[in-house]
Amino acid sequence: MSFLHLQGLVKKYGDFTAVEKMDISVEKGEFLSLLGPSGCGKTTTLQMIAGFTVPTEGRIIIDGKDVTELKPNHRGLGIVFQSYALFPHMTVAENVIFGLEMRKVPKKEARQRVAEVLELVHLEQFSQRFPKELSGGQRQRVALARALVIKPNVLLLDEPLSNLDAKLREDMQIELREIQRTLATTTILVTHDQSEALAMSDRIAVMDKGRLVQIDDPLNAYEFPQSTFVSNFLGKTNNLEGTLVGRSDGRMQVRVGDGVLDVRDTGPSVDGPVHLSIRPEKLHFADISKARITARIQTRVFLGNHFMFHLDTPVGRLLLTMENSGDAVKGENEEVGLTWNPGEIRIVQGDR
Amino acid sequence: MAGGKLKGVLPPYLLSAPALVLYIALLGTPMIMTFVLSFHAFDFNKGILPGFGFSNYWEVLSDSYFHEIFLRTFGLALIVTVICVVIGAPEAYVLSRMKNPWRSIFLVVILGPLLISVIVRTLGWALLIGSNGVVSKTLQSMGLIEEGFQLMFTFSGMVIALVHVLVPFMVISVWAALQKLDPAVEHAGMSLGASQFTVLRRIVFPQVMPGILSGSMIVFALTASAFATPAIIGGRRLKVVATTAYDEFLNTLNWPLGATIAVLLLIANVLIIFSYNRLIERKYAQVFG
Ligand SMILES: Nc1ncnc2c1ncn2[C@@H]1O[C@H](COP(=O)(O)OP(=O)(O)OP(=O)(O)O)[C@@H](O)[C@H]1O
Ligand SMILES: [Mg+2]
Repeated sequence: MSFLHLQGLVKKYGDFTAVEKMDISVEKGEFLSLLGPSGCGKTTTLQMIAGFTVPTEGRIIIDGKDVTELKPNHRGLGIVFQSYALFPHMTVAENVIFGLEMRKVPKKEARQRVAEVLELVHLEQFSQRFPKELSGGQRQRVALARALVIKPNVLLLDEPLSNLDAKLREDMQIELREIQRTLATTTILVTHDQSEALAMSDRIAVMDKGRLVQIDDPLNAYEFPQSTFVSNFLGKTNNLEGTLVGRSDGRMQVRVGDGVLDVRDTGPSVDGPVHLSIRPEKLHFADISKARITARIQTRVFLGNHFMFHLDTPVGRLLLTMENSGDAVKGENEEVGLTWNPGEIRIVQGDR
Repeated sequence: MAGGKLKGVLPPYLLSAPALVLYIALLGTPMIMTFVLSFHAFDFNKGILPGFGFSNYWEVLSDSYFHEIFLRTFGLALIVTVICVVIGAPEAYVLSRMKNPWRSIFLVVILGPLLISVIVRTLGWALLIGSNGVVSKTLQSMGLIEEGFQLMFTFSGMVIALVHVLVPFMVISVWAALQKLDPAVEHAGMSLGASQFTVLRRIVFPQVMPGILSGSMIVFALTASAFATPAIIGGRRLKVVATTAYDEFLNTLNWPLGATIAVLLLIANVLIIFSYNRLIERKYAQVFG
């Protein structure tokens, strides 16, 4: 029996559907990310779990208890807001202790718990500062400490890292993940940053236009996207569209542009165009004689640890990334051969 | 570039010079003249006597008649301020929670009176609360008050009219503070288990406190120096400092004494506002800066 259930959750604003039939089950201690482009309904979903938005339909069940009708102050959830929403007129310690005061935790125990949680987020020496005297990353950690100190059964994070610069964001991702593991708090993270979702979550729920389109662990979601939307949203990819020309022995031949690709048949019934996806890092350069297709390098972009090539091929424009391993690198306008492991080409669903 | 430095410094002064000259001529001069005047002596037969002395100040500061007037003025200012806080702050909060278009409509309703002259508004009140006014007549017919009762020429009447005149300033200033409030902060409070009321008391209220304090500063200063409303509603019977100064100038023609009263009002006002401001700054600089 999982810990948090969203059952057929729907939110409508007038005749606009912000969230459509959400069904998600989250295990105790799991870290789930809600990932999707701006306006896809992530915040709305989170706000419904938190109780700030009333769902149009559906139930929310936490720990076997239906909380759909419960007021936010009775749900016992820890929430970290995108803007942090710290109380500006209170010191760090006062911010953190607030939730314990509301729970009438004895003073002594409360102070003890505040000290512990501030140590957890490495803010011991800042307890007497006011929020405006802290850096962005420190504020973020105060917000986290304030949410954690009440020992919530579910922690909700709404893009908590989006205001931080890239370096700090990476550090905080690791730190947040560690804290979450230590406390084993069931956590839902809202983000539109795919690398954040991949790095932190046990599972990722990808949303598009109010709908849940795929829910999977990060590796599976990345390696086996079910639709062109997911493959595009999670990392870079090459999307190809072709027609089925042959199907036998667990293999499919798909005509794309002027070439025919050999693909492992994963069994979908095909009618109409076949949508394929292959990740740029799964394509490799090869001698033209041994290559599956030939290509011409159109542009080469140097990105530090890797190179990115835009290629002109018989099957259309392809993206290829190659590690910067120190070997000789092909230049622009060169004629090259391309190869790949046919198992790496995925058949996905086209966009509806 | 040679002269560049001078060029950078001079233009701002040159550009603001006309306004500065106008300011000094129209505001500074009369103030200084009033100040100087307050040290002159006065004789009912000979008029203003040149010279320098503190006799006027002594007269005001030692006479219980003036004590009463000063006490009444600042008592009035205090009461009006408190009532404006009690009415204005919740009003601004409710307003901020309204959805458009209601919010805009009510904002105009609240601020609209500022577009009408104080005199007109006060005369309106005089009509309402006079012995033949609507309010008195209604209350009389309900048997709640006796014949002839009126709020005109009473302290309560002045309070009511002044609150009406000044509450928009409180609303504006609290409104400004509320605009800076992050709505997520209230959600954060609730998510931590606080009730709606606790959120208001412990999270919203302290954050709009600076707005309330600056609003009360404005209301207090404006009440303490108010002239038109006390003159019309309070009349001769209930003098405040401003109307007393006016009377000394125009009825008794004792200009030096009038000037002294005006100067004392200014000093008292400045002292109160200044120390109040210091208090606020000390308390809130660290938090809001
Ligand atoms: N109060 C509201 N009234 C009407 N529409 C709303 C309201 N709140 C949200 N929406 C709409 O619902 C959709 C989903 O909004 P939501 O805030 O959940 O997006 P999001 O996925 O969190 O996006 P972002 O990544 O930009 O934060 C949006 O199209 C938004 O315009
Ligand atoms: Mg959002």
